[in-house]
Amino acid sequence: MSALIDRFFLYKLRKHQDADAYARIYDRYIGAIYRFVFLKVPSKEDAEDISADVFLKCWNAIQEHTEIRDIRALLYQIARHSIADWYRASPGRSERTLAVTFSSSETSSIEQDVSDEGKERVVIEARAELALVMGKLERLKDDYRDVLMFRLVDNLPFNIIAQIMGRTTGHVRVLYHRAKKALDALESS
Amino acid sequence: MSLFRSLRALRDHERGIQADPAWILRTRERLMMQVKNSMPTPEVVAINRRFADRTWGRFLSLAKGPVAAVMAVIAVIFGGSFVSVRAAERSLPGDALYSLKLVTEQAQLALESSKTGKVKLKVEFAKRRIGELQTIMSGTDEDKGALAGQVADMLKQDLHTIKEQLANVSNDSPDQARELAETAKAVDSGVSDVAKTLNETKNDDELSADTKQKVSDAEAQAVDVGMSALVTLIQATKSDSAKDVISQSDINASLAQHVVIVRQTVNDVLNAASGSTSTNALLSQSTSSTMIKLVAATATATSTSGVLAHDAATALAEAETLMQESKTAEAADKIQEANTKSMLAQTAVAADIASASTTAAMNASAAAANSSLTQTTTTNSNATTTLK
Repeated sequence: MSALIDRFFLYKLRKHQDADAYARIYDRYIGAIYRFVFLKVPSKEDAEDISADVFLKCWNAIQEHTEIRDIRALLYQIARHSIADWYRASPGRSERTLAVTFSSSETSSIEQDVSDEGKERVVIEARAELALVMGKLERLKDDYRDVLMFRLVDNLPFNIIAQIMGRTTGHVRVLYHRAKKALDALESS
Repeated sequence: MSLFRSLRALRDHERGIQADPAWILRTRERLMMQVKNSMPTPEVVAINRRFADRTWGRFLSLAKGPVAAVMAVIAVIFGGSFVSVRAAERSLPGDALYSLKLVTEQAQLALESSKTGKVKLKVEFAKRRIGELQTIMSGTDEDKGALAGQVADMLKQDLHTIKEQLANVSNDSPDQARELAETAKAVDSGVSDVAKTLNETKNDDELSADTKQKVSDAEAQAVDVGMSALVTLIQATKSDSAKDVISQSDINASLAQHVVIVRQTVNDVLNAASGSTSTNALLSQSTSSTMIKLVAATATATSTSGVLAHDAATALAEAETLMQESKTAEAADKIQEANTKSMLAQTAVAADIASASTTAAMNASAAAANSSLTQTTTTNSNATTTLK
């Protein structure tokens, strides 16, 4: 259903050059993309910049008449690459960012002002948790780590993950189950 | 807590991460501004539309394959037959496509609705047969004699049909003198050519006696048809409406042509007769009584082919005098008489020569002569009736 709505907006955008349709797409996904980016970059400001950039890039992609199967997948894909680019572009940041993997140090920069308690605490908790988990996930294959992140943290359906990662849906399912097994093995060891 | 669970918990934590609503609004505004700025100009929209048209074009190109296939099938079905019929038109008797040629001609005839048109077509086909005959004769085919005989047979039949159809036309539509005159003229000129060529072919020494007989039969038929066409023509000119189609000089030319043809036959007969005087003399004694009877019964001449030929020559001379006096009808009559006599003479000569070789052969050709004679007589009387 949600995919159908996306398609409808995309159609309006393409056929009637309807800018409002893109605004609707923005409304639908800005939150999710922001969260996705926010967990992966150190600061709130970076996350905001990258998220805004993602939607602009997506718009450009639409204007270039590239074939778009699913706008959500495209947005996540762009976000993923944008994060990788962001890490690559800034010297001094970790080099291991191509596959959107996050070392604990990067994702858990907690040197923010803790004044804004309620919300910030959630964030800090999330980051702390992520840092904890990530420290263990480091030892997993890149593919396993990504698929676990997309599935469990970003709560994406398999077909979207498949499009983001450039695999078939079946392959992604298999990957996910292997990743879970690998996770269990990691725990027991 | 297992890793799996902690990851799951992350999601719940993540739910708590909310973007700043003010930031969302600000970003939205800025994004919309950028979007509107980069919105395509009308020209770009036009290009985009063309791009969309290209998707339709892509559908067409998908359909192109099947359409091309269907077109090819249609081309093979219709164009193929067209091509083969074209090829068949050049075929000769004995060729694989010759029967197709004949069928095509029949189809053409069937498609022609007017009677005069049919006659004209038939004449056209007779001319084709003549062309084929000439090609066969000039060729080096081994059994060209047999093929020539075949063509001559067909020609004879065709000519017979033409004659019948011409009579039909003149009986059915006495009012349309103009059309009739045109048709008769076409038949006359066409058949004269046919008769000439047949006469030339007949004298080819390569042919067997049987084929020669066939060819000369066809020639007799051609001359006969020519005569009846001439008679029809003369009759048609009596009507006023046909005057502008056929002039007196036309008829005179036609008469002269007939005179030439008949004279040729007469000369042939005379040559043959003088060339084989001994045979002739022998024959005059030994010719079977039936032969004499036949000749006596049908013509004024009593004994040999020579007498007949002489009679024919006299008739021709008379006809020429009549022509100069512009008595066309009488002249035609005389030419007809001369023609009949010359034909009889020719048949007699053929029969004589044949009988000289063996008695058995003589009997056969006497029978042939018989049929030929009867035919000539009937056609003669036919023509006279038309004339009257």
